Amino acid sequence: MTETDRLTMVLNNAKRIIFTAIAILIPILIIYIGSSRMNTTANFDMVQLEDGWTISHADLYEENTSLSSASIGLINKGESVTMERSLSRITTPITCLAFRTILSTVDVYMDDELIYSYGYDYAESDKMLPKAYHYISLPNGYESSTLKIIITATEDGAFSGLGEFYLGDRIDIETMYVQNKRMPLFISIFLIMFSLILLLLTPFLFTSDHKDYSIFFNIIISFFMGTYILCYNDMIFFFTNNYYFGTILEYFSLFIIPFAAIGFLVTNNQRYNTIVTKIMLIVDIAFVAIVFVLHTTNTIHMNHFVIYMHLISLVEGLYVVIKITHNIIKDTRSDQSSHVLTSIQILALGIYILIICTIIDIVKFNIVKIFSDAGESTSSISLITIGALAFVICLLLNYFFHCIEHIGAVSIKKHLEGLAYTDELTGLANRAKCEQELVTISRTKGDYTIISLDLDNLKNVNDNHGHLEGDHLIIEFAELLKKAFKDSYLIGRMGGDEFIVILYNSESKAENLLSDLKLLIADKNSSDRNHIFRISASWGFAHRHELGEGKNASDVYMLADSRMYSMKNLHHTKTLNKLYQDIGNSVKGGEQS
Amino acid sequence: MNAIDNIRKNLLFLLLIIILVILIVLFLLNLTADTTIGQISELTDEWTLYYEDGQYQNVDLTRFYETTGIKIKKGDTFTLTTTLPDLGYTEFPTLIFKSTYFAYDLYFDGIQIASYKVDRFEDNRYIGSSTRFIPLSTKYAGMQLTIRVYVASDDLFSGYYPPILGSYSDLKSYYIGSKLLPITTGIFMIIFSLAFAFITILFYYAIPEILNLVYSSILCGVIGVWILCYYNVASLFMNVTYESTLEYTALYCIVPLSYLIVNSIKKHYYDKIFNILAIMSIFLSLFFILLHYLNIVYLDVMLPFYYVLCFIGTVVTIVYIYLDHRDHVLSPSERILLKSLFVCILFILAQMVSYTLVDNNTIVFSDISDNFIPIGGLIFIYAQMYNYFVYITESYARKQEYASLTHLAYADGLTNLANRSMSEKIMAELDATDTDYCILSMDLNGLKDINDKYGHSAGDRYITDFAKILKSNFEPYGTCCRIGGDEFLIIMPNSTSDEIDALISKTKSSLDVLNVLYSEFKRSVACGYAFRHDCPNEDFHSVYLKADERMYAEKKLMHKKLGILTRV
Repeated sequence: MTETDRLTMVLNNAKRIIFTAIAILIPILIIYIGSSRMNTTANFDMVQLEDGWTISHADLYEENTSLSSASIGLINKGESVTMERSLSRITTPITCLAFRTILSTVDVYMDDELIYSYGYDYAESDKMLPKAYHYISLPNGYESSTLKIIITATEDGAFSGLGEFYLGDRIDIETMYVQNKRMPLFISIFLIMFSLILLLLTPFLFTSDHKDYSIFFNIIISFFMGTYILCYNDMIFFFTNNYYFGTILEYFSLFIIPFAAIGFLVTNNQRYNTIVTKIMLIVDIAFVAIVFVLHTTNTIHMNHFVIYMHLISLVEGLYVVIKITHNIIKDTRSDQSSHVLTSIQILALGIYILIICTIIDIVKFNIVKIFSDAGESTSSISLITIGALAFVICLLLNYFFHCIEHIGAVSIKKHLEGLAYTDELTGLANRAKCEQELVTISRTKGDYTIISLDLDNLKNVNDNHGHLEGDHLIIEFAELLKKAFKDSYLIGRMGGDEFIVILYNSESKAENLLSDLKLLIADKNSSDRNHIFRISASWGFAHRHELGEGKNASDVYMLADSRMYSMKNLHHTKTLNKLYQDIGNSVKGGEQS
Repeated sequence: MNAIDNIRKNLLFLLLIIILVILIVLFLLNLTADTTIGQISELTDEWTLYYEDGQYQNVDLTRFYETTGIKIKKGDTFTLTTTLPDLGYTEFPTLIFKSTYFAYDLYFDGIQIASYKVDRFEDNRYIGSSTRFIPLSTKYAGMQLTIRVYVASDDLFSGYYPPILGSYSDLKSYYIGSKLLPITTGIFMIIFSLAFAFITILFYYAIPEILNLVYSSILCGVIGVWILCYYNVASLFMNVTYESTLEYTALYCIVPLSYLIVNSIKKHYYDKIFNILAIMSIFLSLFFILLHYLNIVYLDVMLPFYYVLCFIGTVVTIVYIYLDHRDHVLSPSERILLKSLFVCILFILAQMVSYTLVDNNTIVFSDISDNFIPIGGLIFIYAQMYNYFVYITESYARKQEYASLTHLAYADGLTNLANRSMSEKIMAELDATDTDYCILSMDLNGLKDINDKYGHSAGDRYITDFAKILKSNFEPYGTCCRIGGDEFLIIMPNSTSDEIDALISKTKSSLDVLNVLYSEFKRSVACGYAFRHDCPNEDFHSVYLKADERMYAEKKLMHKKLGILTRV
């Protein structure tokens, strides 16, 4: 091994080590982004009002309780929860009370004086009350008054937990909200921007032979997963104060995802384009349409459909997972897939990760909502964020591999077709291809010339020097043909020693090209030192315009062939004459001597 | 299919998609726009300046030099005072204050409410720029706002950014609305970088040429971090006390990464010059960063030198683009990478140039040129993704196809064992080394009879069953090949005759098992083997011939025995 080889080897090893290190570093960085260690510390005092509440709801009355242990149960339409507490003074420029409600109206009293009210405009027009954050600036002297908050549900099953209440500087509180959800925020922005850029790429991904509509569903999945995660984690409110828009977007994103997922499967792989999946597709889009109509007409609000969406997703998800697993097992058994990952395996991996994360989170969510005292508002779905990211990446890799497989298949097909139409020995077109071409040009309107060529002494060489030398003769002749007729429409080998050349709209005349060939042959014969054989060929050609209407290319070929035979006879006679001459000479010579 | 052809073919489609994307973005922006924007007020003029012993009235902060005639130097301090206007009912009145290269104390109604890096000023350390939200109390109208400024760098600008007063939610909408593109682009680039660097490293083991994409993925992340810090929005998302330091560190990493990218795609043009420039630039950039962290010299001081390195790097990039234009040596993938790198740099330069140009007299917030850097970043990412999808897929496909075609050329169609050409290749390679190898020649008995009596499918099954047995017994020790209808060959380097005898008898037992299970016909095989050392100084042909001789000897024996058996 030379010095440069050694150096290259060292460099390559170093590269491999560095890259493996980076690959390990990346998940660590992602975790680091999500960790609360990176959070900005508050500038002023901030208190979470967890204990010391007096909570009353229907028959329930608890004093001095903590929010997470107050079991208020599921709150239905028209029911109210009243919370009371006294506050201690904290040092902030303005003291802000911050909390979140969903599907409810809110009234806040300070010593029985109403200081804040939310949602009555929605309630009056019977609109669904959105998820909303309330930032209430408390008046001076709040530390000597009692705070009372009344939350009234406007839908059945609106909430079962009271969430978190903070007292502090508004900027500090909002910063805390954002930075606690840094990871979902970043990942959802990534998913949304990514889908938009992907959309801008689609014109280039669509080539004339590769129309894969699954990329559009890929884009829809990525976009709405992004918006769903953004809205679910309330990070949409980083960009807007329009709570109604944020809540609607959250539900809509959730509902559209099954449609996009099934649509992706149907367009991605012919195997999944079945009646069952098509029905699922129709059901999914119909679901979205129905929900939308019912909501905008204020008949039934969107939030009631979440449970149905969960059910539909569960059923469809199970079906999809089973079908994909089944197909993978089938593929591995039939021994077709080697160590190379196939597109469908990557898709399966992504779907598994996503479904596992989703199921864990959905189950956790529902259990917490129904059984936990603290209620669902404290359950933070974060696993689904990672799952969504992994899923979208797998979708892309799936598309990636799909393209690869497609390109490979097209290429191999071309190659195999080439094999079927190529003469193995010479690389010229074989008989099948030549006959096909004869039919093709018969159908055209232009003039063409067909040259029929024949090797004169092939049998001779085969008998005297063996088949190997015979093969050499054929190959060498073929090479000369390729040189002389390089601009021709077709050069082919029709059989053992028969060759054909088709000139179509050629600039050169057949006679000129043939005299070129003659020169090439003479050259070859004189330069060939071995002199095992001499190349000798006969040929004849014919033009289309020589024959009248009703004659096709085969007829032209036959005319060319007959002229070839004339030349062959001539050669044969010449050779014989020469032979007699030689014999005569040698006899004469013998006689003379 | 190169990019230009693609564009021409799909022009209409592309236009439609662009319109669709613009519509989506506008729709989202519109929906998120807030309908209740109260008043926000930029406190530009009506400032009173106290500097040294002078007092200046009606100072316009954005045209500081013009209205005061004072050239501020590093180490100066001065005080600015104004009265806050009444904006009507304002919930959570707040100030946004952007500081550029100075420390400050902020006083509201005589009480200090904010302080920024005054200790660093006293230690004569570097102070960058920052944007902070400062809360005021409910009664703000008519109150005195005083800023005491501690200047940390010689005057680079002719003015200062005025504080902006408003309710918190209005200010937040205004601020985030004006920085929407940098925020989304910076975050996108960071996560994109992590995700795609990960994917690319995974593919690196299969396609080493993908190396340049690893570097570009990392560059995306670095630019993303730089964008977030440059626009002072990183502090919205995390605790970045040294936002400016992070900004400079990211900035100084751009040149080394760019050189790494260009290095991995340039062909061998001007290798020597390039290597010198590359090593010098990379070393200097990293050295500057080190000097900063050791508190010897700060990055902002080294900036002019870094600009020189950037300029050299840009020229280098232009040279390679020109060379490729002339000679067409790069693959489409590499060409796009090079050009997109150049375009991104161009956009960054354009913004910097436009900023310094307009800054001579006034500070003008120019909406579009302020967003050039994120646009350049997005173009870079677009090119990366184009690369991945269009070119990488094709290159990977071609590699796989080549592998499968070579497999076709070297594998026997029926059994998937190596074929004659492959076996000769392997043996020739072994001949070139000193390894002693053994060639085992095997001939299936009775194949012709089985084909005649039971048909070709039975004959095929005979062959494939035997091939499976061979593979399972011999594969770890050598290569199994099928070189003729019923002729097999096994090449075993470094095996002993004991091992080989054992394997042969195992194989024959396996055949006997098959004979018991499927007794339609009798299977047997004749074997003979020879070692390289049996034919010293000769090549594999002789070894094979010898093995073949021995195999025929066994075959004759078997025919004697079997001949009797089949007849019975």
